Amino acid sequence: MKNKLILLVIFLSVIFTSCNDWLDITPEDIVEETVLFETGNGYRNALNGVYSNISSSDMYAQEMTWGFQDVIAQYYDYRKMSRNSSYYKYVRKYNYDNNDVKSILNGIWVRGYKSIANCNNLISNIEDEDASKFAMGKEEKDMIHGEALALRAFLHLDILRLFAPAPINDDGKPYIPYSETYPSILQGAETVTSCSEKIIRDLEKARLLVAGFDTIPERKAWFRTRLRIEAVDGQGSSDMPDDLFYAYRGFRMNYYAITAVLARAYAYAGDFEKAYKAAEEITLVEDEFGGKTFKFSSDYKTAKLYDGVLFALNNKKLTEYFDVYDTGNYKSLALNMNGLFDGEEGDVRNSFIRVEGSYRKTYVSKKYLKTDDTGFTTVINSEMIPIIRLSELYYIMGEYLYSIGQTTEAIEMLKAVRIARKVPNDLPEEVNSMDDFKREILRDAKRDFIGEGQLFYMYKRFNVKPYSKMETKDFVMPIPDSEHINL
Amino acid sequence: MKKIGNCYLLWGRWSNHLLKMKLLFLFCIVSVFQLSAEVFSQNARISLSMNNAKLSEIFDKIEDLSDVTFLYRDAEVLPIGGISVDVSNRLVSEVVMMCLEDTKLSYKFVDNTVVLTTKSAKELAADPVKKITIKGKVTDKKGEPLPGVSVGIKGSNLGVSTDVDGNFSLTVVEKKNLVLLFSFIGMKSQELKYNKQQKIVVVMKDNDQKLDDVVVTGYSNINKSSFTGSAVTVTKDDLLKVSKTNIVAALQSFDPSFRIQENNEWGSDPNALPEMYIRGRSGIGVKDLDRSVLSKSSLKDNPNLPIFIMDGFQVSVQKLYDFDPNRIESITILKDAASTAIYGSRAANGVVVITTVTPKAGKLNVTYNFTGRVTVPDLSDYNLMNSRELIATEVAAGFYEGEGFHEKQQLIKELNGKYNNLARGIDTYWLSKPLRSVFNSKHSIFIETGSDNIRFGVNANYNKEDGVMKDSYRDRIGGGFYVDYRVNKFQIRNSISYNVINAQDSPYGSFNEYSSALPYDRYTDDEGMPLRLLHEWHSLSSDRTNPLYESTLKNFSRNSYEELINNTSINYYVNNHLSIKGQFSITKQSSINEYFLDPLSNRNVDKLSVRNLSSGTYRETKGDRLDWNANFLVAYNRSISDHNINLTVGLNAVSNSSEDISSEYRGFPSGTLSSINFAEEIYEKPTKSENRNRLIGFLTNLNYTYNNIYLLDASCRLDGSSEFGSDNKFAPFWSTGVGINIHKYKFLEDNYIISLLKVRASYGSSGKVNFPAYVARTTYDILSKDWYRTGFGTSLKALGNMDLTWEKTNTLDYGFELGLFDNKLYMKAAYYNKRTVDLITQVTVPTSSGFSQFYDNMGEVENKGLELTVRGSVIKTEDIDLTLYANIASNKNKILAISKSLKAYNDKVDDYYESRYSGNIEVSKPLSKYQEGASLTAIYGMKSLGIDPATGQEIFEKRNGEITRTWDPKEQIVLGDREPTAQGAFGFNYRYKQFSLYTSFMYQFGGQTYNSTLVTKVENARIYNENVDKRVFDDRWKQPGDITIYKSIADDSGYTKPSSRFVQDYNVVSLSSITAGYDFKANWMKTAHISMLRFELGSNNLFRISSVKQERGTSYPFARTVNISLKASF
Repeated sequence: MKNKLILLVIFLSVIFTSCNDWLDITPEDIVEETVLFETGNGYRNALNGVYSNISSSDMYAQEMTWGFQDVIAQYYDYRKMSRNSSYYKYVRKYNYDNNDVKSILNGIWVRGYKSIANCNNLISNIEDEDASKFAMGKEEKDMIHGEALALRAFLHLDILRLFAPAPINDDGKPYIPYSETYPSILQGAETVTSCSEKIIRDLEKARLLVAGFDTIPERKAWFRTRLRIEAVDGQGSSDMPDDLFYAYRGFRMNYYAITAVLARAYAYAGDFEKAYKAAEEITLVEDEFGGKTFKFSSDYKTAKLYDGVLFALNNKKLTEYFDVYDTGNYKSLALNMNGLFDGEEGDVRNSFIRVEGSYRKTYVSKKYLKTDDTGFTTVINSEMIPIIRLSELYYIMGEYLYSIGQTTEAIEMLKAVRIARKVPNDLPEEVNSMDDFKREILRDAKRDFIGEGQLFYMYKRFNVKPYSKMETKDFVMPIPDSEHINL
Repeated sequence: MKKIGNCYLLWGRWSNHLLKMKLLFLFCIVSVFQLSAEVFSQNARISLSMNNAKLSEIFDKIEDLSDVTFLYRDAEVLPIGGISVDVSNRLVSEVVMMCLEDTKLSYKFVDNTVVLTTKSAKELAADPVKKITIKGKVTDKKGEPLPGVSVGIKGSNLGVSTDVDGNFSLTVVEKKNLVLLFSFIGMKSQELKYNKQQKIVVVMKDNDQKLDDVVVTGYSNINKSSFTGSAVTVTKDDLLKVSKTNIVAALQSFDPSFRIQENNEWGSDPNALPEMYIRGRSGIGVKDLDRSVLSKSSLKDNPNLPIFIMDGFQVSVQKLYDFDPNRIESITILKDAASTAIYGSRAANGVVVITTVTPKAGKLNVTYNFTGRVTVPDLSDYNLMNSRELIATEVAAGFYEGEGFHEKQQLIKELNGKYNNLARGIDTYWLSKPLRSVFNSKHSIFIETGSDNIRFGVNANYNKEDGVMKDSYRDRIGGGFYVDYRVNKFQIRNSISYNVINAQDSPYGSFNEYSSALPYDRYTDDEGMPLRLLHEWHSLSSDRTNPLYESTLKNFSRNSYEELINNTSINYYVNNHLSIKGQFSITKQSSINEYFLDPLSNRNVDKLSVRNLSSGTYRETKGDRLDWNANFLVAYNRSISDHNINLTVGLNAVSNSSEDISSEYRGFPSGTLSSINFAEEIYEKPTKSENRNRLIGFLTNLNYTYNNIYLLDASCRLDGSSEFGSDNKFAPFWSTGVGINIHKYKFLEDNYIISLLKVRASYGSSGKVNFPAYVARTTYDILSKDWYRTGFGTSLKALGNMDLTWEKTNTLDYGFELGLFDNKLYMKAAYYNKRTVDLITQVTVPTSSGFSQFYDNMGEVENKGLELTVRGSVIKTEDIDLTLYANIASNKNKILAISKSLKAYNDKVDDYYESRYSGNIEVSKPLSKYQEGASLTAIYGMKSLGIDPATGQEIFEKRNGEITRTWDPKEQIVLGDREPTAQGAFGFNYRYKQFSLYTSFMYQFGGQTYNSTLVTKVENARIYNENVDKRVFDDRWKQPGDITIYKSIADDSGYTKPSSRFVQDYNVVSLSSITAGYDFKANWMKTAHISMLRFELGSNNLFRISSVKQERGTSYPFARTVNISLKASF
């Protein structure tokens, strides 16, 4: 009897476990979380997924760079734009009530927070993960962890810069949620100050996490443009990372990218001194031969001048997206050349503008134009979305120096950019005040950031309106309806 | 204890010294109490019931019950078994004699000891044993001989089988009370007392218990009188009386708690699948704001839908909707936990169990059914203006009072144009344009034949159903083959069926385009061809399209599916009590949905123009489904004296998988060239969606009765589903029910008033799974299209909720059944309280979560109610039979708890009204909100005090009693409830000789409805652009002092938002069905080999009286049907 009972129990438990297996359906077209994070490779995929997600046209491959963002910065010629059916003509007038405009903003918001949710789930999984799962052990674990953390902060910063007022116009009200957990459903909105603090906190922590991988002396070579961006090494192949995942650090949130974003975050929060320090740290980084690791381009071959790019994203279809606006007789994204290079046509950045027509000329930036050239650097260039570049750090440093009265040094910072861009050394107008200095920064930034979405944020931070009919409230995008559930 | 040997004769061996001692001791006692003992032992009376027992066991028992002891030899007694005794209060000696009847043993009482000896040869010879031979024949109902029937003698092992001709011959020792036992698989066992008949003829009957007496739960058949659950059984005949074509609609007449949701939009569209619920709604499902306008029903994620079990496996509503009612044997609606808990995780909304007709043995029998239906559109709810009235109304509304010379000129020209049309006799009755009256026919044929070992059945049916809107139809063609093979203790059944359904929506578009069209418009050109665009009277934001123009094009919207179902079952009858059943069914379905827009159509997004050369769209979705279901059941059914046990233990495994591929093609040369080969391009990459789910359940079900008085039901099921996170895969469901058959008590046994009185109560829990697969887990999508520079990526697919648990419904149910005067008056009542906890709902979340929605367990909903059914047989004679019946159900729905997220949804509804442009017709519809304490079907809006006679404006009252003129979404309150206080059906069933008349009326009262017609067609009627209800002119406010319920006729401040003014009490009575029939019974039929011929004339929805006058069937009108049907059997 007892034996029978034992047999029965065994039989039942076998049935039960086999049932459990039978009930585990592995879907064909999706992967379960537990399966994904079983291997260190899954973490890599999850991280790549975030980069891939934000490199979509509703974020950095279009709207948050040369699309929406540059339209509201008034880069484009409205006369050309209005002749096309493109809804950018409503964007240009800050007509945020327009349904098409609303859907652009909703796209940014949803995609941004979805990417943040991806980061959060990655972070919560990796925190307790055994380092031995990863190909390079703890270094890799910390690197992935740090990058996810940095991406979370970076995305929050851009959402904050778009959907909340700049600190200069801050009313202390809550604007956007800062999402730190997965899932985070009942996350309330927070004030600009509170968000800024959390962004900085996350970036500082992320920087330390990736430092273990990025800042050790053996990896100095990895951050030269040749390796960081082109993944080609001309000075000894032994330096090359042999794993795709470690190559192209320039397209990922590496230590220096995080530091640059940190400088940007400090500057936006108004902590200019810390911003200066973070920016300065980058300009001082030396390569293994004692030269500067991060320096302005000197060969001017690529329109994006990517030697100075500290962090970039990548999308293979980037030029296709732009091409939609570059067809027909009227290019909807033709640049408004008024005041762009006045008297300084020799600026190397002027050569990256395509001029068409004879009577009424059409000027289009070459940064995102399709090209038939399949040369390696051309492909890199045409797929690259520059997110933060050295010039921004020089502007930040200059701004700090000017604010503490070191006006000459401040102007030097600006001049450093101008020299690198082959602009005559002298500033076209006198600089006698902080406002004058900001005006000169804007003049230069407008040339440097064409198609990169950063100019609007500078206008916003300085509270300078790029368009006479613009109102201060237009600096703040309305929170999309999809968020309005008032939890 | 064993007695061994015979001590006097010293034949046997002493097996045990102890026994010897015992016997000695016994002798001493016996000798002392000899006298009295003799009296006590032989004359003692005992009651004994043993079945199929060993002789020695019986002796043991007798020893226990009396002072008698037995002495015998093991070798002679131990092998004897298979003896049954069932005596009460009989002498011991009698009992012993009965036990030894068929043995070679004889007995002798020696004081208190029974001494057993083998009869000597002489004794045997001397014994007046007479052998007799019993001969007979066994046939079935139709008189066909039955071979293989086992014929036995009750209480012995003797037995033979009938031969090919059904004859048997059995030689036995003659004795008194010889009872013959006839048994055959699938037939009712019979007993027959042998009274020296010359020739015995036995007619075996099919084991189908009378359906009225049985509750078919799908896993077992339980005797109705012993069942403690709440169930309603509908037989085929009853069902067909109500409807020959629509099973689902017919069920409403039999169970007042079973209701089809009124579909005011899709009316009598043959392609709109009905949505139904039993005993109230418990789930929220797709909420108003998320609802897709185009879907005709939300069956997919409907959280209130019961499940349908056909011959053991689950089928879709669509399957039932397309099923031929003639194929149905019975339908059982299971409502409470005691009856549904064996379906565990799927049962919360009730279970509808359907059994289909199986072939009977006998000669070739052909049954043919024909039903012809005349269907005519029912436009009685429409009250639209004609040309003259409309123009007059436009004038009265002040549309032609322009300012400035130019504008005035313009308006005068417009008005003159309209008058001109009127003068030319243009007064189009648009409503009739897309409609038609149709004659539909339905044929079904069933051929059955076979012997008792093997039976065959073939069926075929064709049902053509044209809708009242032109060119809309749903055609159903099907056929099946059935085989039933019985051999020894096995019964193997297999049925295979193949069905094809083709359906098309009307190319005329939505009916509301016609109900809003202007009667003074010209819609054809001089040649009589429909115009593409109608005359533009004044400037509008968009073109005035002619809805009739579309009908001249080649647009189509079709869908069709074909399915193949195979259902196999093997029954193994181990013995009379134990049977094992294995069942496997598999369904393969492939469907195709096609939608084509002619390049010339006005509905194209990119219409043809000089600038746009290509237009036209073709969309198709191809779907494949493969479902299988396996049951393995062991049933034990036994009566031991007063105990009756019906136990089922089993396993149920279900697997469903489906795959859909959708693609879209654009740019077609013309409407006739709609093949994808002619398409200019494939629009976007085709998409594939895959859905798989599995379910496994372990179940047991016990039905126990004691003395037929005390009843107990208990069932439990452990269900596992693939749709839950790994922590919550399995969940138990259970139920228990008790009942008492009071009428079986002795004191009521022969009571001439009360013939049935049963009280019962049950409690248990069941669940439901109705959400898309994979939502309970965190899953990642592979980003196959966008590889990043450092490798491919993955991204979260949806906000998976790992904590998602089973939604459970706990049901308490009690009731009674009362039958008076031999059940001439029958009454059944039930009270239930269904509490659904951990409700699974799609919750909209702020997008800062990264997602827009997810699924969560939240909230509690309670449904409690009362059901009452009364049936009375007024006259019952051979010629006349009149039965009246009525039923009523009342359900009260209440939300007990809601989550924060649902509260947030309420705010979203408020925002919706605030943010929408008031000219958008959508703001006039009241949207559902969810409040604790309120019903799921509550109507929300702002309390209105009516129209100010001075200004013609509406005055509202806020919650705090303040009076205001502005409508504020935050001030919305519950204005009414769509759920009626009570609903039900009543009618009568009358038969005079061969003539019969059946009626079924349906009614509901006490609920409310929001009369949208009054809003959109009267108060906010777009008089200038659309045709409107006649009430506009008479009832709207025109000048100060007018006391009306409608705003000023000149008011154009946008649509009136939900206001209590339009909440009306909704009471309805309708004649859902009336059928008159005649059964032919004539001599000529016999010569024509017709065994049955029946003719019927009936109608559905012949009339309807409602307290609310509103347009019904806005996208597709309602219809009335008259049908004739003929049934013949050969």
